[in-house]
Amino acid sequence: MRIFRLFKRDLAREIEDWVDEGLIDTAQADSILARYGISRTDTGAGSSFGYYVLTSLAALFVGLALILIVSHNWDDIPRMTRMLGLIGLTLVVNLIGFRLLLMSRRSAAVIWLFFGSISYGMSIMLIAQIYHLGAHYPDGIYWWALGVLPLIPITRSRLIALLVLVLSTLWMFTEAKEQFFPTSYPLFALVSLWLVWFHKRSALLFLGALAGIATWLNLLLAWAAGNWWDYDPFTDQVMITLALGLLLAGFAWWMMRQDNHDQRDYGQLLHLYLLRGAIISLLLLSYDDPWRGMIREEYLLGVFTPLMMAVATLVGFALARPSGINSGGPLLANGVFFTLAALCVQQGWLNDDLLAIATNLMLVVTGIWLIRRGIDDAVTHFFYTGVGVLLVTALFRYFDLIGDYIGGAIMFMIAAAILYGSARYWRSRVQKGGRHV
Amino acid sequence: MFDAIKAWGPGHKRFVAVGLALTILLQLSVLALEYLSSVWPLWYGQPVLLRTEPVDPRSLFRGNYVRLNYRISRLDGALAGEPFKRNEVAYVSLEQQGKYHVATGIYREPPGGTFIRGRISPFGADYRFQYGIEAYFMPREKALQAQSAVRQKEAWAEVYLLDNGRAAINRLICEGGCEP
Repeated sequence: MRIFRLFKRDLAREIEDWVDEGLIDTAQADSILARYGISRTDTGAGSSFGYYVLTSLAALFVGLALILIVSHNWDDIPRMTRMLGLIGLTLVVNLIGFRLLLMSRRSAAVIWLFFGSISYGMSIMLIAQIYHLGAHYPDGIYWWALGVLPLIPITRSRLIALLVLVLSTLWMFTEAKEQFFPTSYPLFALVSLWLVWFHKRSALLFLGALAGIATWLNLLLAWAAGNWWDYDPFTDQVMITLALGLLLAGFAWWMMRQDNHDQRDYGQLLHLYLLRGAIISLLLLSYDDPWRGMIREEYLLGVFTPLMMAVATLVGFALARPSGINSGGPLLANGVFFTLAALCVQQGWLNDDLLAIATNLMLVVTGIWLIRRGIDDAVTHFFYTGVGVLLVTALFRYFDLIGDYIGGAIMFMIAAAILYGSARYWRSRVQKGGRHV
Repeated sequence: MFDAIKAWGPGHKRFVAVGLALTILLQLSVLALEYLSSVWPLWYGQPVLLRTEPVDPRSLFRGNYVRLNYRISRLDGALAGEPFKRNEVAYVSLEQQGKYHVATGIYREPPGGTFIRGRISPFGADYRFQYGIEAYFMPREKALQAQSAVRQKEAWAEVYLLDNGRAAINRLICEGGCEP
């Protein structure tokens, strides 16, 4: 599975030129594009997509203007006039959207309903302003998101779903900030996922909803640890989140094997973002401070945390393995590393310095694997990411020594030996295969 | 079941019509409920005066407001006969002393007489309360004027209380007017 899939609209545009120049005929062009689940009409040229995007932004800007007009607080105008005026506007705008949708003018209907949704939210805020409702302000955002939610299945619009996801996520964070638990957040995220899984393609909604659910799960764990009335974040959450990442990595590979082109694209995107997430996690853990902190902490789940990590590794590996060695191998290596690290931390078998050194060596191995994959599969992105990982690791360790100067030097020597050994092994394999790199 | 979930959407015009009508009804119900719960204490509540000290922040969606910090916003833990958890609902009994009402006790169940309902948070040996009457929305200039006026003057809020302790703020009053 190649990252190239994510640039398929560029490919469609390029192939148009190939057809114009007579390099390939239209039948060949259609066959090539069909492989990526698109057609020559998907280039964007001549379509109304640009018009739709600009009109949606215009509706958003009018909505923002409305928010500021409401915020100005025109107390010279009687309360009832202000309130009925805005509720009337909401009703009229929604009814226009309603009528357009029934006339099958979907794009125009969505824009009106989007503006109607902002106007509805502003009506909630205006009533709160007029009657000085100061109690628990996240409730206003919640009722706003809930009132717009039914429009997702009705319109199947990504714009409306994006508004709902942004509002519900804002509600989740404000609710947590006020020390309450956002119980119903998954409802909003799952409806957004339903839309992009079955009907519309949107990488932003797909990744946003997954990230939202992962955040909500972490809040749930902290809330449970606080006896369901307070947040009490605990150290096991770091490992549980990593275990969730391993499961999602397996799921990403599973998606990349599906027949549905959109699901394959989501799998590719999820894989890319999880790879970046894994590198960032390793870079953060390459310092000894986080390990020292984790060793000092109490563990709520005890040995169940590494056990959970092991189970997540096995499930992720089982999902990824049919895609080949380049999928299951790195997932297994990361899973085994994090499982053993969790076990060593929880049992106190290794100190913070040794765990940080092991993480740095894991970064070196990750960098080598990425460079190899980048060259073997001719994927530029992986090649440069691998080079970047090695350079950033070296830079971090040069400025922030683990142990003293000699300790740092020894670690650089070990990393150099691994790099040189990999290079030699690679060359011997290429020579055996009669290939030239 | 799976196919039913997948197919959930605008397959038929009837689904769209009923769905949109229900959505509009839901939105209007939310607004009507919000309106009624806001005005109910003002229509049927008992008025009390609470001493306050305002400051002026801005809300992201609702504009400028004066944040009202009442004398009953922070109460001595000794007024409570039992411990409370964060964000628990609690009732504060009120007694008129001179012009203002002051707190006399903190309870888990509604006490008799005049009382106000709020959410409690432990704060050292004291308790902090949120009664839902902490924000008073005003145009920006007036909010700034009110804030500077009450630095020199005494200020209080006229609050209406329902029988169940729910409160709504009617107006903010400063000694000699809320202008500097």
